[in-house]
Amino acid sequence: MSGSVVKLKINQQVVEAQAGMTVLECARTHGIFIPSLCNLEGLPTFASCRLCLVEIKGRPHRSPACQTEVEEGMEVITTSPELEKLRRSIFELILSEHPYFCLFCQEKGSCEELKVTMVKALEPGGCLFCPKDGNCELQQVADYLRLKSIPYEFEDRGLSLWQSDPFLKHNPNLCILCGRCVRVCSEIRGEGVLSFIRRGSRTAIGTFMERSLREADCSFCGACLDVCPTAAFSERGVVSIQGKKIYEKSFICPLCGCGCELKAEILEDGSLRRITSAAAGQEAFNSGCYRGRFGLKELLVEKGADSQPAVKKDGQVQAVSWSEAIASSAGSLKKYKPEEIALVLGWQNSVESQLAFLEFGQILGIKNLFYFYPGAFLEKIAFFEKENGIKLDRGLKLQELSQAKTLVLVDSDLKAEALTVWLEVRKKLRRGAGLIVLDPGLNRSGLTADLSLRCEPGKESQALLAILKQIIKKATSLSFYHGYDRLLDDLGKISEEQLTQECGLKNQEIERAAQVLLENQPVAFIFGERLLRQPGWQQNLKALWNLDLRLEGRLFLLTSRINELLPENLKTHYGLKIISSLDQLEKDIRESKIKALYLLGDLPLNESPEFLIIQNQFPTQVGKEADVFLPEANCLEQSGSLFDLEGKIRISRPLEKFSSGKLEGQEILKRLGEQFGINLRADWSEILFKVLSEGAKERGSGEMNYLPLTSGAAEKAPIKETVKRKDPWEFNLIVGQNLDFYAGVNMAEVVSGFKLINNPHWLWLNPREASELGLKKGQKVIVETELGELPLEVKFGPGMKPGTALVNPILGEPFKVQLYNLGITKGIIRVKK
Amino acid sequence: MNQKKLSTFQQLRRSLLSGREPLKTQRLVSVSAASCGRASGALAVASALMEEIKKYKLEDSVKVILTGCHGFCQFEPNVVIFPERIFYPNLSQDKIPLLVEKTLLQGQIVSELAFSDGQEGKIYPTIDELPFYRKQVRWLLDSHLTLEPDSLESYLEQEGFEALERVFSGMAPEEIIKIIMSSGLRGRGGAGFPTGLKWQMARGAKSDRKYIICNGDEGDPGAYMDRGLLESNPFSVIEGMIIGGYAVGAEKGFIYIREEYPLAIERVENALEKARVSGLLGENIMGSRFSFELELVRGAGAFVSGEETALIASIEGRRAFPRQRPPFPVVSGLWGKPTVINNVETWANVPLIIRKGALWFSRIGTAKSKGTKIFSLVGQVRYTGLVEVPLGLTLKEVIEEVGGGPEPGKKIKAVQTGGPSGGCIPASLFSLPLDYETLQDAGSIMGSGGMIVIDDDTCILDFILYFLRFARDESCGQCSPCRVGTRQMVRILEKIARGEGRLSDLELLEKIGWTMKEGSLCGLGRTAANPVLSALRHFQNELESHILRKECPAKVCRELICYEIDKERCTACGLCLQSCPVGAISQEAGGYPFINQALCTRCGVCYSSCPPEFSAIAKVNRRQVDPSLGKEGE
Repeated sequence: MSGSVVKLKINQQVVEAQAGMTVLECARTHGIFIPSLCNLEGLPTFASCRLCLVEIKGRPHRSPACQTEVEEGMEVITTSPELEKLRRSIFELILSEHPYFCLFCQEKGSCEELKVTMVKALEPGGCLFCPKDGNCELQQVADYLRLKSIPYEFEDRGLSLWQSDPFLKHNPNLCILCGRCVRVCSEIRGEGVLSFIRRGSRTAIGTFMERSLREADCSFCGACLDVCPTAAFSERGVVSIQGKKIYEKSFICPLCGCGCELKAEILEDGSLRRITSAAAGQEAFNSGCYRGRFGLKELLVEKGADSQPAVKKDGQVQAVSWSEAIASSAGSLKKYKPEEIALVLGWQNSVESQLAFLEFGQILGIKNLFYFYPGAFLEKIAFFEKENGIKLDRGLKLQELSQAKTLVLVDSDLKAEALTVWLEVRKKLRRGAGLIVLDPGLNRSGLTADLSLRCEPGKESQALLAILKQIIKKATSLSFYHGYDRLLDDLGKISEEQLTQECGLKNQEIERAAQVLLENQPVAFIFGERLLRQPGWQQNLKALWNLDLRLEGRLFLLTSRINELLPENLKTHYGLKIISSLDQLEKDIRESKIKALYLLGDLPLNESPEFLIIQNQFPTQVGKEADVFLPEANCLEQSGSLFDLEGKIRISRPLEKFSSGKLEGQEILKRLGEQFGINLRADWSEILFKVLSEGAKERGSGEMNYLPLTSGAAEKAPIKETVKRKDPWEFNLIVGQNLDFYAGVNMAEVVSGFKLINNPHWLWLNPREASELGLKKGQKVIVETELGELPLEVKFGPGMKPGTALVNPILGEPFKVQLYNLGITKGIIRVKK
Repeated sequence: MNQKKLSTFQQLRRSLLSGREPLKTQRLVSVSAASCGRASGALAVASALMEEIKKYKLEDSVKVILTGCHGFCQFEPNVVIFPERIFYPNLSQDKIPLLVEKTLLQGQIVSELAFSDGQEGKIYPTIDELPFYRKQVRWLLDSHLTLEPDSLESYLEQEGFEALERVFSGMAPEEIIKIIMSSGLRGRGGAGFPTGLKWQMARGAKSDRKYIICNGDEGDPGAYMDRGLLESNPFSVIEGMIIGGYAVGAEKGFIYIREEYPLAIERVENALEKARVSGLLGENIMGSRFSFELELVRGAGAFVSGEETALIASIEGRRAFPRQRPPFPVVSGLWGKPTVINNVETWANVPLIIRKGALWFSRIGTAKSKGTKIFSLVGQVRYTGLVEVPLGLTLKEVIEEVGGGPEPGKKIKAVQTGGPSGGCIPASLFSLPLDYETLQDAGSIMGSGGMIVIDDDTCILDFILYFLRFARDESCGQCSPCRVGTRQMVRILEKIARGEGRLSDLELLEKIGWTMKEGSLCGLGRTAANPVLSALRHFQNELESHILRKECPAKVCRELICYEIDKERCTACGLCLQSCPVGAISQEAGGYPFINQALCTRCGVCYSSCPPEFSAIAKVNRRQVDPSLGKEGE
C-alpha cells in the first residue's frame, strides 16, 4: 500500500498524495491550511479539537482531516462558509474555557498601562505573564478565523495548579484538553505518566491517583512542554521575554554519551533563559532529557558565572589576570623535573582541549599522562578481546539496531543511560519489535519490556548460560562457528537446575526468553558497563558472546559517557595511561614521587601535591584548593568536538556574541606553552582526522569463535562460588550508573530538582523487606561496605528484588571511586539504623 | 447438520428435563423477583409464601418460582398464579395467608388482592385483562412470567436452544444472515442499523479473527430494558450470540454489563457457566464443528461506554473514549478485528426470529421498523413499567392505553424518548407511530427504549436541564463541541431558569446545539443537544415565558416562583411554621402565618406540609410578589 500514489481533489484542485497519508497531511504538503489544535506531526491522531473537520463527498458526517486517510478519487472541501462557521463556533467553545482576553485585546501591541497588571480575569493573564510568550497556538487559530470576540463569559475552572514538582508546572485552567501531552507521554516517550482523568466537563489532564509527577514516576523529559499548544505546561523559572531579543546558540550536551544537540536561549544581558532541543518539530519531543534540558541550565546559571583565574598567594586565593595566572603556572611547573609532574585528563572536556593538553605534556617530556576513567569499561573489553582473540564493535550503530526484531538489554538501562537510543528503540517497539531486559536492578526500560528478567546480582552469566542451554535444546539448526563442540561439552557439565537456581530466575522465564529469541530474529544485544563491574565479569561477557554467536545476532556495548569512545590510537599515540582508580596516584603524591599535578577537569582526589593546577569549567571543591585555577569555557561557551556513543564526532560552534572572560581549553594551553617556548597549534581538526582514519585502518576484525567457559583468564570452573547473605540486614549490592555529574560537580547538590528524582544518597530497598526491618522511607541509615561506612537514606523501590540494595553513586564524597568501580569483591553490604 | 447432531440437543433435553413435571399442568406461583421486585420485598414475600404453603402441606401441588421481571414495576412485588394467570400486585407478607388460603387452597380469586383501577374501582383478576398488559405484544417479555432465570432446564422447557438446534441442523451462516435481514430486525440500541446488514458486512470482512459483543451498558436515566432482559432471561441473549457468532464467523464474544447491575452480572455468569458445562459454549458446540466462547466484561459505569467504539476501548482495557468512525467496528473493531456489536434486546430477538421465521417477525411493525420494542415507560403516567409493544403503535396508544394516561386531574405535556440523546415530543404529536424514522423527524430518537412521560407539573426547562446536566457530567471529555457545548448549554439554561435569560440566549442554544450535532466526534455528542433542540422546536413559548415574563408556567423554577398563604383556606394550624427550615414563616398570636419572602428559599417544604384538605399554600409567580424581578430583561 504505502509508496503508491493516490489522486484526489481538494477544493476542486487535483492533488497527489502518498497512500496512507491523512487528508490534513496531504493538504499541508500542498499549502492548503486547515486549522487544528490537537494534531501534531509525529503524534498519533486523536481528532478531539474538531477544528480540522472537512467535507468529504459521499460521507454523511464531516470528517476530521487529521484522522481521515486519503483515498483514490476522494473529493474534499476544506473551506466553505458553513465549515468556517462551524469551526468558529467550535473554537468559541474551546476559548470559553481558556482565558481569552489576550487573544482579542485591541491594545495588545500598544498598551503600556495595563500590561503589567498581574491579574486579568482571575488569571495571571494576558500580555506579560503568559509563559507562552506570544507563541500560543490559540492565537494562530483566532487569527485564521478572524475571531474578534466570543459570546461566552469566561469562566475559570478553578482547578488547582501543579506546584509541587521540579522543573515544570501545569496550569489546568489553561488546558484545552487537546491530549497532545498524554499522547507524547505514553506513545512516544513510553512513560504513561500523564493521562486523562475524570470525565464530562470535569475532564482534566492528570496522573494515576492524581499523584504529583514525581510520585507518578515522571522522568521529566519535558516533552509535554514541547507539544503543549497553550501555556498549560510551562517550564519553571522561564518568564516572558517581554518583547526582548533572544540570542540562540546550539551546543552539544556533554552529560551522557548521546551527545544531543541542545539550543540555549540567551537574553541580551547574557543570562541563560532556557535550554531546549536544537531540533524542531517531532525531533524535538523525540529527544532530550531532564539532565540537559533542566539540569544543565540550572548548573550553568548557578556555577557558570565565575570567570576569573585565581592564584594562591600566602595561603589566600586571589583573583588575578590571565597573564599572571599563566606566568605563575609556568613558573612553578618549571621548578619540577618532568617525572615529578603528572597530567591527569578527565573525559568531559572537548577533544581539542584534551589534545592540546596531551601535546603539551608530550613536548615537555612528561611521562605521567593519565586518563581518569572510572569503570574502565573499554579497557576491560580490550583486555578481553586480546585474551580471547575476538573483536567487539565499539560504537552503538543505531542504523543496525533498527534491523533487529528482538532487542536484549543486559545490565544496561537505555532509558536512564542513553535516552536517544531508547527513543529509537521505542519507535521499533511501536512497530512490533520485542524487548527483553536482563538486569537485577531497577531498570526503567524494563517496565515496558515484553520480558523483564530480574536475576540475582552478579549472576548474569548464569542467566545467559541458562538461556543459551535452552536455545541449544530447542533449536534444530547447527552452528558452524568454531568451538561449538567444546562449548557443548562445557555446558554439559552444568545442569540446568544449577544455573536456574543460581541466577534466581524461574524456569518459565528462561524458556520464554529462549523461545522469543528463537522466534524473533535477528536479535541485537546491548550490554552496559555494569555487566563488567563484577568480579566474574569475564564469565558474563563470555556467556553473552556465546549466546549472541549462537543466535548470529549483533552485540553492542553501551558507552554511556561522552567521549568514552575517544579513539584508542589517540591514547597510544600520546602514551596515555588509563586509570580507573586514583589510589596509585594518591600514593605517589604521598610518597612525593609526584610533586606537581595539572588536572584537566576535576577529580575526587584525597591528597594534595606540592603544586596543583586545575583547569576546569567550574571552581569546584578541589578547584578551590588549587594553587592555580584556570577557568575554562563551559560547554555552552566553548566550541569543540565531543565523541558520542556511536563514535561520531559532535561539534559545538563557538559562542560569538557573549564574552565571558573565560578561555577555551586549548587556548589556555597554547598560552601556557608559549611560556615554555612551545608553539601549540590552534586548529586540531587535521590531527583529529588523521588519528581517526588511522584508527579505522588499524582495527582489524577478530575471530568468530565460541569461547570455552573453562579456560582463559584462570577460570577453572564454569561458574563461580558466591557469597550468600547471612541475615536480613545484609543485602546484595547493585551499583547503578549515575550520570548526573559534570566537571567535578555532583549535580544533585546544585540542581534542586535532581535531589528529588535521582538522589545519589538513596539506598533503594524492596519496600516490604525494608518495612519488615522497621525501616521507613527517608530514614537515615549507615551502610557498611568493605570500603568503610556510607551514610545513606532509605528509598522504597517497589520493583526491587528482595535481598538486593541499589545505590546510584556519583564520583566524589561520600562515595569512593572504588565503590563506583565496584572494587568490592563480596558484593554484600550491611545496613545499620 | 446430520442426525447425530440433532440428537445431542435431544440428549441434553432428556438428561436435564426427565422427571420434570410439564409446565402446563402445574399450579405455579410466579414471584416477580428481578432487581425492582427485590427492592420492593419480593424475596420476603416469596419466603412467606413458601412457609404458608408448607403450613397447608401444599408443597407437592404448588410450585413457587422466582422469576425475572414481570414488567409492572409500579406494583412490585407481584405474583402471577398459573394456570389461570391470576395477578396479585403490591403484595406484602401480611397478605400471604389470605392468598394461600383462598386462592391456592380454595381456588378463589381474592378481590381485595387483585388489581383494581383506582378511579373506576374495577377489578382485573387476571394479568391478560389488565389495561397495562392488554395492548402489549410480549414476544420477549411474556416468557419472563414462567422462566426461572438461573435454570437452564427452565429455558429448555420453554423452547430454549431450539433455534440453535435448528441452526446446527444444517443452516449455513449466509442463510441465517438472510433470515435476519429479511426479518427487518434493526438495532435495538438506538441507532436502528439493520442487524442483518451489519452481520453480512462482518461476515464479508477478511480477517483471521472476528468478535461479537453484546452491549449491556445501559446508561440512559430511567431506562432498564436490558437489565430486565439480562436478569430475566440470560440464556436467550447467550443463544442469540452463539447464533450470531456462527453467522459472522466469530469464535469469541463478550457480554459487557455495567457494574451497577449486580444481579444481571450474577445471572449471566451463572448462565454462561451452565452453558459451558452442558457443551453449549466452548469447543465444538453440541458436537458441531463450531467453537465459540463468551466472556463477561464488567463496565465501570460510564455512560459513554455504551457508545460502541468507547465500549470496545473499555474491553481493551483503555479509557472509554470513542473514536472516529469510519472505520466502523465491522471493519476494525476490538483489537482492530471485525466486530459485530449489538444491543441486549437485539440479541434476544435472534433466537425468536430463527425459531419463528423472518416472515412471522416482519408481520408486525411499519414499513421500515419491524417487530416489537421494549420500552421502560416511566414518569407522570398512571402505570409505569417495562412494556413491549409492536413497532408502529402510536405514542398515544402507548401512553394512554398501556400507561393509562395522566394522573387524575393532570394533563400530559410531552414524552421524552431515547434518554439524554432523545428529544421531547409534545402531546400534540402523540398520534405519531413508533418507528425509527418518525421519531427522528420529530426531533427525537427511538433510542434504546427509555420513555419518560411528563405532565403539566414539569417545567420543560427544568426537565431538559436534567438531561443536559447528565450529558455534561457523562461526556467522555474528549472532543470540544460535546465537552464544552454541554457545559455552556447548562450554564445558559440555568441562567434562564434564574430569570436572567435573554432572547439571544435561545439563539445561542440553537447555535451550540448545531455545533454539537455537526461537530462532535461520536453519536453521544451529536445527539446530546437533542433535548434542548426539541424543546426549542416544540416548547419555545414555555422557554420564552421564562425570559420575557420571568414566569415558569409549571411553577417549578425556584427563582421564578414564591409561596403564598391563602388566608381563606388557612386554618392557622402552624404546621408550615414548624416545617420551614430557614425560619421564613412567622405567625403572630391569633393571626395567620406569614411568609417572609426575603428569607424564603422556596424549598417547598411548607407547600408539602400543608394538609391536602386545606391546600392553603399556593405557588405563585414571583413577579407578582416581587415586581423588581428581571427588570433588566427584554
